Amino acid sequence: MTLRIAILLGLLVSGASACGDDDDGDRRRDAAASGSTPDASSFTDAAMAHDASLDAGAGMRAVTIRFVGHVGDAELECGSSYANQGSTAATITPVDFRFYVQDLKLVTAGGAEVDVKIDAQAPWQADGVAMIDLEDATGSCIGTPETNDRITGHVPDGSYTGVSFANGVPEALNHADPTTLPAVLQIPAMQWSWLSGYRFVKAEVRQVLDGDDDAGTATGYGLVHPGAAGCSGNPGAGDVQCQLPNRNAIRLDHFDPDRDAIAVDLGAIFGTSDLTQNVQCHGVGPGCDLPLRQLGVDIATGKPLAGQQVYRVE
Amino acid sequence: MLCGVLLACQSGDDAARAAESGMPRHDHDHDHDRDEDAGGDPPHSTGFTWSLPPGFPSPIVPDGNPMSDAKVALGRRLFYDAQLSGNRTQSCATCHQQAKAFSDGRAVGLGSTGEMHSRGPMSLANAAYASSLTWSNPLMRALERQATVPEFGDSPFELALPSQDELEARLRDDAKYPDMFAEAFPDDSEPISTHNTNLAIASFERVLISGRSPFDRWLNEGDERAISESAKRGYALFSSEQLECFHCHGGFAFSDHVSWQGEPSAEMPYHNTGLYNVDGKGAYPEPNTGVYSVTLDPEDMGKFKAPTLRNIAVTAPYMHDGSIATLSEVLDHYAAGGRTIAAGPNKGVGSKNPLKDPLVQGFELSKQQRADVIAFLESLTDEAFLTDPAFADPFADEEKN
Repeated sequence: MTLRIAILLGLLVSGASACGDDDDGDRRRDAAASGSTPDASSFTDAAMAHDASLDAGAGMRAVTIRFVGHVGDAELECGSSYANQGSTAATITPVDFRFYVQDLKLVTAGGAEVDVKIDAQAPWQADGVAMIDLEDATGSCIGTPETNDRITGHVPDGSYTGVSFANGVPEALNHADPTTLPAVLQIPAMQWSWLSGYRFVKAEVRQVLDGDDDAGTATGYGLVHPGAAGCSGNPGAGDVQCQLPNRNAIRLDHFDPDRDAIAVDLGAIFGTSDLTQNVQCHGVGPGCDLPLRQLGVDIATGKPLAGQQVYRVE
Repeated sequence: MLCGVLLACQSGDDAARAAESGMPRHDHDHDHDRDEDAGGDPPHSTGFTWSLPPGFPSPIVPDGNPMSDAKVALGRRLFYDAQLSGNRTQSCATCHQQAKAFSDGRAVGLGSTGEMHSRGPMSLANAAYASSLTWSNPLMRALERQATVPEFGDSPFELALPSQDELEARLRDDAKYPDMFAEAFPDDSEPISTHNTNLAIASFERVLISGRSPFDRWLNEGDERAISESAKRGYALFSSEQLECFHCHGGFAFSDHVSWQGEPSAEMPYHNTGLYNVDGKGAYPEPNTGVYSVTLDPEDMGKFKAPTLRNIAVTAPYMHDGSIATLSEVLDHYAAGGRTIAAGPNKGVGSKNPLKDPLVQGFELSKQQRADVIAFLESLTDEAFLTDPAFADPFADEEKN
């Protein structure tokens, strides 16, 4: 019995350091020490599985935050067409919709924000960051068949009435070498490779004409890839500063994690854009003005802005 | 230290300033971090010996990626292996060809999926000394990290590898790699990884050192017949306060953007040379706005690295976007103190670029002087480097055997 407790305590310690959210130093060494990231992830998985059972006994409870993709009121589905989008009432179809979530917290009735310790669970979650992938590569979608609509983690026992999070990758990881990072940060499509940072959101839609969802004559394409921009420093030393962090701060009240989901609206990211034209946002520039505002980012400062239009409780 | 070796440094205060500002090195933290990144591989005695030309200092090697012959051999095979592209049509060597000093002769790169790059592949000669990699990215400090850009980048697609898992599966299935990785990374229980792939490629890139040109034989060995009298006159012009070339293209690498072991810390210089001025306020055409595209600092508009001049005669066309075809036209650009483009979308008077480096002031050259400067530049072609079998495609040998 005593021995068992000692083992569990050991696992708790290793699990805790492996899950440290923004301070990734130890975790990166772990990943590096095992030589390849998938191994590092499975190593951490094992530790975290035990960690979770122990947490449950130590005043912690499991929590699952679920996302549901939408275009307006309709459910998001690759290959489907959605009419009346944007300023010119264009018909569009989804092309890609994936995003990173960091700083996930639940809010108590008293308004206190409590960290959700995101489980280490390859390939979608690690190091305090998770990726939601709402496209399945069918129809006009270009990503991967695998999808992920939820984040699992642990919070202290108690009741919660709200949720908050940011779209982003923690700065300590954002400019690190992806060959040393866990699977969730290895996806080439989510990287601004030459700027050595991540696309926090990859939201793409295409205009369709007359139900033709497969190509051709339509000219409109909406592409929103926000990420930290205007960066300088030395990534190898973990020392990078970005003028435009471009991370939002979403807070949704009246959210019961046991009952509710978070609706995320791909169409709303483009707001009143003219989707019969090319609408492109690559982190900076006029094309980002509207999409970043919709996502809750101030384009001038890259800081969170009130009034986001993309997320709601469902 | 090197000023005694290369006359380019012997022009008094200016030269001292150039040497001071132009030769930074990585800081200690960076090297330390790369130790962490390097697969937890404790540095072990590898018996590796550099083959450095006279006057060349020791390159900085990250603690986490000590040199070894096994790693260089592995890196060389990976560098030439088309399995490193998604559709198996290209390798690193496609855009970095030995005969062209590991550049490719194109204005801009052409990736494995047919997509054009915005900039030209840089020569890899003496990349071991580069303070930062690529044309204008101060964030890109390590060869190990830079490799991920052509491998996995999608803006544009270059090698277009779909994932690290896919690359690793291909390498595991290869007849030779399992043994080669095991030999190169003897302390790793699972040596085949994308990370180790890039450590090996970086090790191969570090041995691509060029410093045995006819010019070097004249300068270092006193071989008066190694280069022509015209080239010697050209070198004097190059080193003069009239042309000012040496400020940015000085030192053993003929570039001010270099670091080496024991060199005190300094900044990484980038220069706006007045190649463009599309808005009259100094703008370069998108997407090639130089360091500005990374930092968004308006002062960084149009700033690029001064590339090495070694082997410059075989790396045409010139400039980051290959927009100048010949060395003579490059001299026109600098003689004018910046290029004027009379018409078209990039129209503008580069010499009036307000962000231009103050040393790009323009000069006059006689026909003979121009020929002399070009003769000097041509004397920097290092045939031994361009034909060294140690840097050549190893698959050619495998097929013979």
